[in-house]
Amino acid sequence: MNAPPATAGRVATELTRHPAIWIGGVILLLFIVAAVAAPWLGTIDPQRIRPLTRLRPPDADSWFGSDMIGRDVFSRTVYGARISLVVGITVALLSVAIGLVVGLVAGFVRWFDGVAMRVMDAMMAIPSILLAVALIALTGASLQNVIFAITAAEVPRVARLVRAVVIVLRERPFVEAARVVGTPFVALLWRHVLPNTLAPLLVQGSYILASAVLIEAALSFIGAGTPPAVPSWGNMIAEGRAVFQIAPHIVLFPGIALAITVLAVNLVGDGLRDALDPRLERR
Amino acid sequence: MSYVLRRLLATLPVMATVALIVFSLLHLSPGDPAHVLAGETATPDEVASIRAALGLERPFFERFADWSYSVITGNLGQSIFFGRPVADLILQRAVPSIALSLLALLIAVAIALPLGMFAAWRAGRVIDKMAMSFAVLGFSLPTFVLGYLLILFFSVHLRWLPVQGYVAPEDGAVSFLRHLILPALALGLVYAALIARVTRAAMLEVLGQDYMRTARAKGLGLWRMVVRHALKNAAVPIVTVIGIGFGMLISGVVVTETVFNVPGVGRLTVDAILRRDYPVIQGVVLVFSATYVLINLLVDLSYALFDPRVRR
Amino acid sequence: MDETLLAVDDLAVEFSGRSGRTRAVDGLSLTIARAETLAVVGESGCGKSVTALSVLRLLQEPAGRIVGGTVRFHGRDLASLDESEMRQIRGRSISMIFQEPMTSLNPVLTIGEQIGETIRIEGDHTAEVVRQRALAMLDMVQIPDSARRLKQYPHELSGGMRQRVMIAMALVNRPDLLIADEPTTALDVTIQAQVLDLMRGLSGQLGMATLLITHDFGVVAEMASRVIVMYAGRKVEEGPVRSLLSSPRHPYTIGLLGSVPKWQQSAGGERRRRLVEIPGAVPALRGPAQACSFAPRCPIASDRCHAEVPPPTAVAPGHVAACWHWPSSTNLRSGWHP
Repeated sequence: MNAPPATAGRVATELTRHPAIWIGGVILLLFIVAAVAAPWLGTIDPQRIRPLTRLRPPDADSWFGSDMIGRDVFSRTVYGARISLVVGITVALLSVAIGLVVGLVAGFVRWFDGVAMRVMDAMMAIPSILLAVALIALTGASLQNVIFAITAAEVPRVARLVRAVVIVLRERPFVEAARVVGTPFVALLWRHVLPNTLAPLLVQGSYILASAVLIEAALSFIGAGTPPAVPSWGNMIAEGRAVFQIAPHIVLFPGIALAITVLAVNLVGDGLRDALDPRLERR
Repeated sequence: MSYVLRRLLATLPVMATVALIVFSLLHLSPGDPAHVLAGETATPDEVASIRAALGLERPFFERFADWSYSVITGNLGQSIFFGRPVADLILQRAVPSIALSLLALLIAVAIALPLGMFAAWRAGRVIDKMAMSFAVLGFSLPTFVLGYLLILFFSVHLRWLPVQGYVAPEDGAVSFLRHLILPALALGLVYAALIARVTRAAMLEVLGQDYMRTARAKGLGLWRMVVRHALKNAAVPIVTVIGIGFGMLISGVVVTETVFNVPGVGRLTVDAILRRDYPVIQGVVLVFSATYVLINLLVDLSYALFDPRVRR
Repeated sequence: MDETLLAVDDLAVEFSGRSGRTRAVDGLSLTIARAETLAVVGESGCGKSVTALSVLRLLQEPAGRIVGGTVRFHGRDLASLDESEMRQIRGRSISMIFQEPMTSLNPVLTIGEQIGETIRIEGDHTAEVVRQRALAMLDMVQIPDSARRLKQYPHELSGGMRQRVMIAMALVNRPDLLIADEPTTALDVTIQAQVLDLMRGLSGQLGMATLLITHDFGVVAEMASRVIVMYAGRKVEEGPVRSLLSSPRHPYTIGLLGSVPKWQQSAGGERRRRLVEIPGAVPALRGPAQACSFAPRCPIASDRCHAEVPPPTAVAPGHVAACWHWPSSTNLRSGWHP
């Protein structure tokens, strides 16, 4: 965890050396633009039921075909990006923020460390989808509860990471020195600790984004996610399940969109990891 | 011996904390635990009797102690929908899930080890980049999407394998395997991607070590060098990721059993979600978490097998 | 020299990395006769270890490769063999021991397994034969309690013991040539002396030639009959040990010997000369040298030194130096410190 501080120039040269960040970033940006601009992309109301055009295969009129109650799969897929990205980005930001606080406090306050890390270990022992399922079963299926449940499953990873960085830093001469000369604690955090957690958090944050998008889709798919009326990719795949053999497009288009989104985020994460942690990049 | 004992003892606090978290979820959540456990269709009398059994007026930790004791003795509560002990339901559904997980694990390791080793051996070359691109791709494909793609290709298009369903091993071993191969592949491929990445990194580290140069200087054959000298040294991080990835595998079981209609514990969970059968969900969470902890205990113990320095 | 075992001729080795290609060995020639010990001396980075690795073709390819010259062993050019042919040579006809006894043995295999597999590469033997030969080898390198040691792992052995195991492993198939790359550098002084004694005794006993890579003139004086001094990938001086140590001709050799604290008394009580590295780094070459590489640090360098590569010139019987000014270099000897 000894990445030199990232200056603008260094970031620029690293970016050109790691095309994965570019490729993943551009794809991700396209999906974000599509999600925001969904109403202007040739879509119709994703909820509109058209009994006369049920189970239509893809053609020039409706690019992705229609589902079993005649809703437009293309429109639903584009609008579905909103759900996935909102859940993914919110979970990533929340997990990093909460995990950062827990990790920092655990790294500096010894009594809290013992308790917090025991709880974090136990939470990581519960498979993330099941922890989310249990939480949602108690609180009810809604977008907020899905975000809350996935965040709860992801926070321990961040907290452990931040704590590990703090514990290494705590013993470093420059942190010791800063403490000895009476640097205020907040300044110490701001100047020495946070810059050193930035790189690993950025990488971890992108992996959490990918994992949150996946878990949200899986939860919706098994009926423990966003309410069925919401056009999320997981819901669409779950609905298409029954007619999968005669109309595979209902499952495939949201499935492919989901896979590409996760792939893009993972590419960004891998690229960032290689760029920010030279130790991992051998030869 | 003391190493084994120490690892064993170290899992106890983790298991206890897992139990505490699972218990707290129900008892500290805003709703009424008695209502949740009785189900939505329960009569006021039923709710009242469950409330009495829970002893909600007693202190939290006293109730937790009671509940823990009953869990240890195998009592995971009653299913609302089936009206039967949760433990029985899970046991009844265990075989398909265990078979699926083991086969997926086998497939994952069989793909990942050679792939990761080969990529490390040819690090930086085209073949390495291709292998690692495959790994990122595999890592990003959601299990259920992959499952449907496999069904579409192997079952619907080629008609080689059954679309869905499950046949118990005692009703025909071949049929059992034919039904299990696609779900295991869907489940194992994601897992394989994870293991392959770690295998490559661990092998790359080992291949640069001085003792590998010694092995080459001794004139050893490629196979002996890679498997005996390198792989054994790289084994600790590899089995570690196999253990950590098992959590992912368990989450995947829930989804995969739904895609392929396999009547296992995962399917039980999904049905329980739809029926709002909380006691079953709680029981499954406990059992799966315990399995995960147990697997990782085995992983810890296996370190001693690979690295003599751990045995102290 | 019909007794020639190894003849390296005009060897050139290059490494490619992010900053382009660098030449680690440039036009090096050397020969070793049967049962002879040749020492190669120089500062770290001078190319002596790369030379040793090149003979056994152990460079990390494709980053490091032989780009020119031949390496003839029993008349056969090793530089042109493929990997499987090289495997037949390694561990059987030519063995190698390395500087770091702590990391050169595999930590997860027992001593018995590591010696045993080396015995097995030479032919199929029963487990009992392998065990007996491994035991005999451990006895030969004077490891006490050899039966117990066979079952132990490297981390249970001291550094000196591990280097003895390395020697046992290297010699178990009776090679014609042993390449020893700084075999005692990482050891305590007393252990160093023991290991050197052992190596000298065994090479005599087995009639084995040794290519000894070192930066320690004390080791050279004790072990070798001839010595080559390398600088920046090139041979700058070569000669019989006695002649070269007593009357060095190349300014670099003179500098090296001059910077040695005279006949230092070591902890082990025996007298040895230690080489202290000259300040400043050995320059990295981009391609074949165009001038004397040592000229920038040499006090008697002339314009010619900066313009032409000095050829090896005979300065005494069997003693050559690559210096334009060797006749006048002796004036430097009275305590020049570069």
